Amino acid sequence: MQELVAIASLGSVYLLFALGLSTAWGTIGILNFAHGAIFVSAAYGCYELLEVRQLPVLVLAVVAVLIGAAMSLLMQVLVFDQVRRRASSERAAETRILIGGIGVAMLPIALASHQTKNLAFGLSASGFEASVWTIGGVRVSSVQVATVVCAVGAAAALAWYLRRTRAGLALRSLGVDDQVAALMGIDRRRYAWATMAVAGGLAGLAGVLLTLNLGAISAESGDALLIKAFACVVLGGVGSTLGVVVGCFTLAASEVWVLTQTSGMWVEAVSFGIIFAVLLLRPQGIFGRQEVRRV
Amino acid sequence: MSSPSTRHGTVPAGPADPVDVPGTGTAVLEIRDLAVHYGGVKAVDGITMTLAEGGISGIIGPNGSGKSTLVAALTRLTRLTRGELTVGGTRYERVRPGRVPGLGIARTFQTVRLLGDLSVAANVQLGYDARSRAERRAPLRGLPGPVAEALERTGLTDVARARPSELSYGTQRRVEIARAIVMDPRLLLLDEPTAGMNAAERVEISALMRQLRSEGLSQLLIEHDVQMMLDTCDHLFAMAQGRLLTEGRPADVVADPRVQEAYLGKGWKADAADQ
Amino acid sequence: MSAFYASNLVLVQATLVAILLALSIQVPLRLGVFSLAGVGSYGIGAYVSANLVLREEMGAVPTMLVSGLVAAAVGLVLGVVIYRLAGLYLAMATIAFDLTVGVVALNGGEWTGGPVGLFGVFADLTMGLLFGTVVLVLVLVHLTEVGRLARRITTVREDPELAASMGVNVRAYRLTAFVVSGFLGGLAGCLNTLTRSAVGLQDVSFHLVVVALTTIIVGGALSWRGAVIGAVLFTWLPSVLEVVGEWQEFVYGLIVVLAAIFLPTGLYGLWCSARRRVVERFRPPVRPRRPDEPDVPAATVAPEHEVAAR
Repeated sequence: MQELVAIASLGSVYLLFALGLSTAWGTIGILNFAHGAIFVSAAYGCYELLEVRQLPVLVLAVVAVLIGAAMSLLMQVLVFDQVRRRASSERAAETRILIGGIGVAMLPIALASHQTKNLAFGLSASGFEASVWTIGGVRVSSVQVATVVCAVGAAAALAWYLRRTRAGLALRSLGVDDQVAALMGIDRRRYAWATMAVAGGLAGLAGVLLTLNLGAISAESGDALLIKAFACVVLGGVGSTLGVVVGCFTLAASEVWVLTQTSGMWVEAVSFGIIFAVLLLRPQGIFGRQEVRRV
Repeated sequence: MSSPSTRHGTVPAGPADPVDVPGTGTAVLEIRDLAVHYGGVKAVDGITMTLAEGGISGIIGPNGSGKSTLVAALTRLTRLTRGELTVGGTRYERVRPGRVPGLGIARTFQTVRLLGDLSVAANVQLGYDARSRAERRAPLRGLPGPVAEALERTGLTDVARARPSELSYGTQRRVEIARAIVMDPRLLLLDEPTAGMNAAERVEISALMRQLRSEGLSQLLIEHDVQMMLDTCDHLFAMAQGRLLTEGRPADVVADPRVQEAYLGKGWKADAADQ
Repeated sequence: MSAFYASNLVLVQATLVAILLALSIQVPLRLGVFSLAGVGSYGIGAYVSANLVLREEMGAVPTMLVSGLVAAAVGLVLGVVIYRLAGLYLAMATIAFDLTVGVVALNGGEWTGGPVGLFGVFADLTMGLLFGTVVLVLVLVHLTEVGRLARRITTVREDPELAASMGVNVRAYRLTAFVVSGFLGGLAGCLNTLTRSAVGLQDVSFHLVVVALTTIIVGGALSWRGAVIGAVLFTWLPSVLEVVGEWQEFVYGLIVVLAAIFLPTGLYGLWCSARRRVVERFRPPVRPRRPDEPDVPAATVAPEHEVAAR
């Protein structure tokens, strides 16, 4: 039972993080390699803010969302838009967006590593203490509950937005064929900005929640999370919100299972194994639309 | 295969020969019951064709009639649902696409596909590179003889050092043709070679094709321009909805009411065919 | 010169290793295979060579060969499994491969030394051997950048379907990219272990992916000269610019971003296009001459001769 709580909260962190990554990739075609850096930076920003001033944890969450959204938007405007404008072809742009993402991710991480001297940092300065309830022998903390609620709420809201609103339809049409979408008068840039801001905000929220959950994170934790999120997205299928949800909880369950079965050193390899298995057996993912992903 | 430079030897084959009647001459390419289905879409559905050695065959058909899929199938760039392909007596429906040029089939593309980073001469040389080692002679300086010759024949000698992007669309198409010729094929597959060309350029291409025929090169031409087809081809196939509608002498095929209905639309009078 | 050489021996060695690592990413990229598996091969080569020297007391040359071949074999298996994947999927799958090598290194017990790594790996690697190896590799790579092979490689990268129509076995080319990348990566990892006589988890980290990619993006992705430029630049920059030392990661990140936006062909590509522009200035304009067009009148030619004669 205790494992189920662990799976739910771990999967929810993955979900908050992966939702934005998946949506940006599936609609505006940007696989943001700096998504992990946004995640870490939001948590780090809150940490620095607490050095200056005492703030309640709810305010911190809002600050994290804002930091994440602002960073993501900045990356879109200053890097990805610029690359796309100058690239000769869609394929060239794809590669250079990946490389640009790797480069831009190094900036905040270098800053944070330098300031924290590569040590893990936490948000204990906020004085926040998670309440822990014991229900039938199972321990559940308020942070875990909040994480699950935020993640499931965000996924549901996003799914509803993409399925049921005009703007969501426009966004999805960009993912299917952006040239046709442009002909129908859809302003790709504006949608790209909005998508990246939302994606960054969710990553920021995930950063604070995971930091509260674990007590502390290090500046390098973003890279590992990025690969895990990629595994979740690939498993579920790019562009499918339900797919991301299933992918995240599947990965979390697999990792918790491996953790209980082995010494724990192999946990990191689970997501890599999933990536290989999916790309080989079912490259479009569980819920993904059929798409040319091979050459 | 007698001499290293030409694979097809010199087969005298002009319009006077009965090459327009399939089965009487030797066949360069045989297609038997070819089908390509994409899911439920039957892009090509049971085509049987025989291309006579040394002649110019043409395929006409409206957009979506399966011409492009047929070309993709002939060059093994798409998976066959069923059917047999034979070129020069060799069955090849199972070989990988990279071996098709080795069997003697060279092609041009419907949309120009040249490498922008390479000069015109280097692009043409790509075709020469496809020849087997025994057939290649790379001089230390300058271009191999057949490359220079192909450039000359297609009128590209003056622009040999230019990049494709500096040339007009029609000239770029000539580079594609030069690249295919220099492969020394037994069958040349021309996928809408005159699209984007003006009338004078079309005449030049048509003349080039007929000259290549006089040297014994078999050709398969896919075109929209009916007049060009009538001027150039010895034998015409008409396709519609993935199937072969009819075949025969170009004038007869164009005059066929079924072809006119499918390809040229109802009410079209066979002016060109009457000439 | 010799004093400079002695005091900078470590940097020279690091540059040579960096060149090979960069090539292990660049070779597949030139074939249009966005594989970053060279970094995993580097890790394999680093650990295999350490074991060969420590357990078998092998000499430098056989160690280099075996390390490279083992990594190449792993590369071939990986290639067979994933060579069909396109673009980003391939990149991410190969990153997963790199990180898997890292996890194996962490859990490898006495074979890898776990988090501590392996030390005291001494073999008879001379500077001459190291230098000669890199030069030999560069010569071999150079041979793939001229003539027929270069044209065919370009075609496979730019238009695989066209390449097939030109008689290229695209699958074989792509698989070869994995094998060559594996060999070069393994060789680089081996030489790194032998020059530093130690191997640890830092030799299989994600950071190396960034380093290798940065090297060729900034130097130039389409020629070995780009790999050399990038390797020299990034190995020596910290020692040249003091300020870079502390903020190395930040400066590198900035350079990568700027290169991704403004330098699609890297520094070497920039040099090439500049040279081309100069050459073009001295070339007559491109215009196909019609047969009916009269020859250029002699009068317009003569003054140019006079100018040239002066």
